[in-house]
Amino acid sequence: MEFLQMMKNGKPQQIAMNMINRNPQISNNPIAQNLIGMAQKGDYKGIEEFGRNIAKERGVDFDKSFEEFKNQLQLK
Amino acid sequence: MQINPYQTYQQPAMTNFNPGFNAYQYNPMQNVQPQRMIQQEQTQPQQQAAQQPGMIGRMVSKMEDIVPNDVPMNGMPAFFPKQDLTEIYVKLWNNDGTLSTFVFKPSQNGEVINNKCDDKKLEIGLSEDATRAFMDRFDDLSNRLDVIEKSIKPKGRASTAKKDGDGE
Repeated sequence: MEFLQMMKNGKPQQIAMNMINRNPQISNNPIAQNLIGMAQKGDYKGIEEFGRNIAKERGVDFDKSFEEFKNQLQLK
Repeated sequence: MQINPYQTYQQPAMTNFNPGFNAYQYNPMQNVQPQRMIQQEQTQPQQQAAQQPGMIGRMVSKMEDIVPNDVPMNGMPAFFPKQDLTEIYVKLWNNDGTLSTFVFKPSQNGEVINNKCDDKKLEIGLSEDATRAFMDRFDDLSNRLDVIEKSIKPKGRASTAKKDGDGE
């Protein structure tokens, strides 16, 4: 019911953000909050930098992995 | 008149069995199972809540044994005591996706406890950058020595040749 009201009144992006923020695992997670903040501000470069840093820490080639990810979703 | 020997045998058995069967029509398991389910449902959130404030980590033999997956991505630090208890590594993910590492060393009354393996620690403690800087310096020095050696050698030969010429 509440979801339907949200669908009627809000923008899809806002609805998605509200749903994400309601999850206590995300709302109590400072890293996730930082990511959401960047997404809301449209700081996509910051998100990419975050991804690159994580990939570097895990010893993963970011560009290669991202290409594979895009291929899986057939975004190419 | 024939006597049926089984008649007397069967009847008591049936009469004894029936009350027992009737008694089991009330199945205590039917009531026990839902109770257990409810108990499990009640205990699961408690366990999850109890896990949150607890410490995350494990014993390691060296720092390199720690993999990024050992550190939770919720901002909580993970603790990795070294097996010989000479150091405790604390790792946590930063907001920018980098991994921070803090090294805690034992101390007593404000003084760092010296251990037998201090020399080894010093060797290991030198970072790669410091080692590289030293090695670059050594390479530079050896190159300079080579240049000096080359510049000296021809002169030495010439002077010996001259000396030889003088001698003749």
